[in-house]
Amino acid sequence: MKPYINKRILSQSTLDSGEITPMMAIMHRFTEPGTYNVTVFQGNNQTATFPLIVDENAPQTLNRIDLGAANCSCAVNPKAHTIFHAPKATTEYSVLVEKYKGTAKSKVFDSKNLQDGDVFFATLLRPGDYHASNERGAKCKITVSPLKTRRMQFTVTSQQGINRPNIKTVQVECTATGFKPENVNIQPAQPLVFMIKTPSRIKIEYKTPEKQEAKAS
Amino acid sequence: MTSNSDLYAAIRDEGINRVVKHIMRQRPSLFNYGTILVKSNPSLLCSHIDAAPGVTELITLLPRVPLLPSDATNIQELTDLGIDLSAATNLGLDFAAQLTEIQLDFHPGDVLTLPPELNPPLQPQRMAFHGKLCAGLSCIPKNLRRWFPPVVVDLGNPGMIRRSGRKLNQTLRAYQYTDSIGSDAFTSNPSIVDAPTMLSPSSTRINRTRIPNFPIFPIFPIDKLECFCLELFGIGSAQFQGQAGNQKMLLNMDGIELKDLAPVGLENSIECYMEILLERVLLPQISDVVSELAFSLHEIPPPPDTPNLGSIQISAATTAPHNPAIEDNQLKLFINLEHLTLNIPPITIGDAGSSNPPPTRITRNRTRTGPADMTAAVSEKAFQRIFGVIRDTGKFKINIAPQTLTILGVTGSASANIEFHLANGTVAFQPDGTIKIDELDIKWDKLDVTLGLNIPKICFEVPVPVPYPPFFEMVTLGCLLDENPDLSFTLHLPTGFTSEISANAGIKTYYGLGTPNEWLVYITPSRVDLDIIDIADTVGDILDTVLNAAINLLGLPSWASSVVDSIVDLVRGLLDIPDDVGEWLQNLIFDTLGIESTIESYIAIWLADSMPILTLEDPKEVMEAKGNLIPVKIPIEYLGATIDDNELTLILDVGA
Repeated sequence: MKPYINKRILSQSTLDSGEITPMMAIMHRFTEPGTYNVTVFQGNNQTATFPLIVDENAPQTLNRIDLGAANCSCAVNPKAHTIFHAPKATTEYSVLVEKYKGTAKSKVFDSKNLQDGDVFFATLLRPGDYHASNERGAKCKITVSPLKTRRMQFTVTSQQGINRPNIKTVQVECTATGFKPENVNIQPAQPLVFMIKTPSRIKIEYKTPEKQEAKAS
Repeated sequence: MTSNSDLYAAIRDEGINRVVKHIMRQRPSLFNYGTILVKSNPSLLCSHIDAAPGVTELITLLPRVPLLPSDATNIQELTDLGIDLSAATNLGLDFAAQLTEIQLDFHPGDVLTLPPELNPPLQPQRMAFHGKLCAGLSCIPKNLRRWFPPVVVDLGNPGMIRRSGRKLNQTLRAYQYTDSIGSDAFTSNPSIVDAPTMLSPSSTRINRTRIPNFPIFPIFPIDKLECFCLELFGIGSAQFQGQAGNQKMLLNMDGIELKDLAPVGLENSIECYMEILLERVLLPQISDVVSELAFSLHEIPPPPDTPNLGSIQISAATTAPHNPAIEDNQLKLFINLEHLTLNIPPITIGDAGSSNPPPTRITRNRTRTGPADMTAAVSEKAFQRIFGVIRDTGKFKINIAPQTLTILGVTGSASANIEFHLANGTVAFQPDGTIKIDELDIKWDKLDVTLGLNIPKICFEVPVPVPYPPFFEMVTLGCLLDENPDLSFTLHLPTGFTSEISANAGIKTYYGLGTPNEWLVYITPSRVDLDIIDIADTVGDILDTVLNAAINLLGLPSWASSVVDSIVDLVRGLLDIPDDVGEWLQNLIFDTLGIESTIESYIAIWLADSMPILTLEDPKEVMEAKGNLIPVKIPIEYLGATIDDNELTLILDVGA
C-alpha cells in the first residue's frame, strides 16, 4: 500500500489567519452564555452551519472544532476556549459565529478579522525566511533555521503509544504598534503563537528566493 | 558389489519369471493366437488361459491356415491334367497357438530341469531358457467326415472354370448342426459367408465384427482342436567385448533342444534350423541393438522429451572376472560411468512456512529372504562424482514468505528471496549407514530481504494553554503521514560472502499410501549445520539508501530532506537499528527472520519430506493400455535402500 502523505503541508508557503488550512489554528473564547450559530465557508461558499451552546454548566474543557468535519453540536463553558482548526483540509476555510438574540443574530466572531484575546497558532516546516504581516502594515521577520539534529518535532502515534517531543512554542504579540518581537528564529515544526491584541488578519509568507535556498541546501 | 565398477545391477531369474507371469496374465493376447472360431469359443483352446481380472482380449486374431499356400498351387503338370489346386488356397483350417510357459534360469540353475541332451547341470556363467508352445488344428474326425461330401465354393471367379469344362457354380450347401455354428445366413445366402461373419454360439443372428477381411472359406463344423505341445530348452551366455568407447555385448547360444519330438530326424532338423536362425540372424542383431542402446551417449531424457537435462554414457567394466556374470541365480552387470553432464534447472526449495506435507507414509519390511529380485548399487566414488556434477551445476532458490514482525509495538513484515549455488565440500559414505557432507560452501547469488513497515501516524501539534491541569492540551495542526500507511523496501544485500554447510544423512524407504501407492526413498538428514559468515560492512549504507529511496517515493519536495531524515530516523528507531547496521541486518536476517535456521530446517525438511530421491509406483505400469487391452502393471513387493562405507544399495522384490 502506498503511503499516504499530506503534500499540502509540504507545499503551502503562505499561512493566512483568514483562511484556515492545515498547520494553523485559531482560538477564541465565547464569554457570554447563549446559543450561537457557527457557519463554515470555503471561499464564499457556505459549507456547514451548526449550533454552538455556551453554557456555564458545560465542563471547562477546550472545545475543538475541526472545520473539515464541521458537524459539532458543541457545548462550551464561557471560561473555556474554542479552537478552530482543519488538520486534514485540502482547501481553505473561514468561520463566522453569530449569537442569537431572539430571532436576530449578531456577529460575534469572524476568523477573517481576529480580535483582542484571540490566538493564532502556526507551524512552519520549510527552512528559510518568512514575513508575518497584518493589515496595518506591521511586519515580523521569521527565520526558520535548518534542523540541527535529524529529528523534527513531530508526534508519533503507534500501537505502542504516543511519542511526543518536548515542544517549545515561540510567542509573538500582535499589537496596534506592530509585532513584538519583530524578529523570530525558530526550528522547523516549532509552533508560533500569535497573541492578538488588536483587530488583525495575519499573513505569513515565504520570502527566501529559490537560488539562496539551493545554495543553503 | 562395486569393488570392480562404478555401478552394479543384478536381476534374479525368479524375479524375471515372476514379471513374465504377470505379463502373461495381464496381456495374454501377446502369447495366445487363434482364428475367429477359437476367439469366439475359447473352450477350443489347447491350454486354459489364466487371465487377470479385467482382461477381455485373450487371443490375437489370425487368419485360418490355408490348406496350401497360394504360391504352391501353380504346378503346371497338375494343371495340364485338369487338377486345379487353387481351391486349396481358399480352404483353411482353424487353429490356435499358445506360448504357455516361458522361464529363465541362471547358474547354478534351480528353476529348470534340463533335458539330458543339454548335459545338465547348467554350467557356470550360463543361463537356460525354457518355453512351451501348445498348438492345435481344427480337423473333422474321420467318422464324421463321411457324412459330408466334398464341398465346393462358388467363388464367382471366372478363372475357376476348369479346362475340363466343369463349372464351379454349385452352391454351398450349409449343414446345420445343433451346436453353435449353424446360422440362417448359410441357408439364405451361403455365398456371402465370409470371415468377418462371426457366429455367436448363443445367437442365430449374424454378428459382424471389425476384423480384417479374409478370403472366403467354407466352414467345417468342429468341436475341438487337435492339440499338441512342444517344449524348447536352450542354453546361452553373454559377455562384453572391447574397451570402453568401443564395446559390444555378445550373445551366445550353446545349444537348444526340442523335447521328445519324433521322429528324431525331424527334431534335429528343426533344432538345426532354429540354431542357425538364432546364431546367424537374430542374436547378432539383438547384440547390436543392445550394445548401441547400452554404450552410446544418451541424452537425459531421451528426445523428443524436453528439456534436456544432460547426457550419460556408460561402459562395461573390464576388471570384473566375468561381465556380465551369470551366477547365484542372477545376471549381474558391472558398469562404469564414463560420461555424465547435467543441466539441472533451478531447484525451488519452496516457500518457507508452506512446504507441501508428505503423503501418508508407512514402513514396510521385506518378507522374502535371500537375494532380492533386483539389486542396484552405486560405489562411493561414483556417488561422489554424481554429487560433484550436481553440486557444480545445481542452483537453488528459497522463497521465504512474508512473516509478521512486531518490533517495539510496530507491526511489519519481512520476507526473503534467496538464491545460491554450491561449491567445494566432500561427501563420503560412513560405516554407520550415513552419508557425510562436509564443508560444502553455499555461495550466495541473491539475498533480497523485503521489509514492510506500518509507519505510525506523524503529526504536528501545538500545546494550547488551559486553566486546568496539566494546563495545556495538545491540538493537532496537521499530519504528514496518516491512514497508517505501509512502507515497503527491499534490501538487495551484496552477495560476495560464503556460508558453509555440513550434514549427516541417512537413507530411508517408505511406502506412501495414496493414488497411486508409491515406494519413496529419502535422504534423511540427522544434522544440518549452516554457518553464516559475516555480511560485508557496506550493508550499513544500503539500508539508509534504500530507506531514503522508499521515502522519496512519497513524492516529497526537494527542500524536505530534513523531513526525510526525520522519517528515516523514525524508522530506524522503530526497528531498533543501532549504529552497526551490518550486525543488525545479520541478526535480523538470520536470527530474527530466522533465515539461518529456516535454511537449515528447510534443507532438512526438503530432503526428508519433500524431495524423495526415488519414487516407484506400486504397481508399476510397464505397458500402456491400448484399445481393449488393459495396462500391464507389475506389483512391487518391496523396495529398500542401505548405505555402507563402500556403496549405496537399492533392492527390489517383485510381487507374486
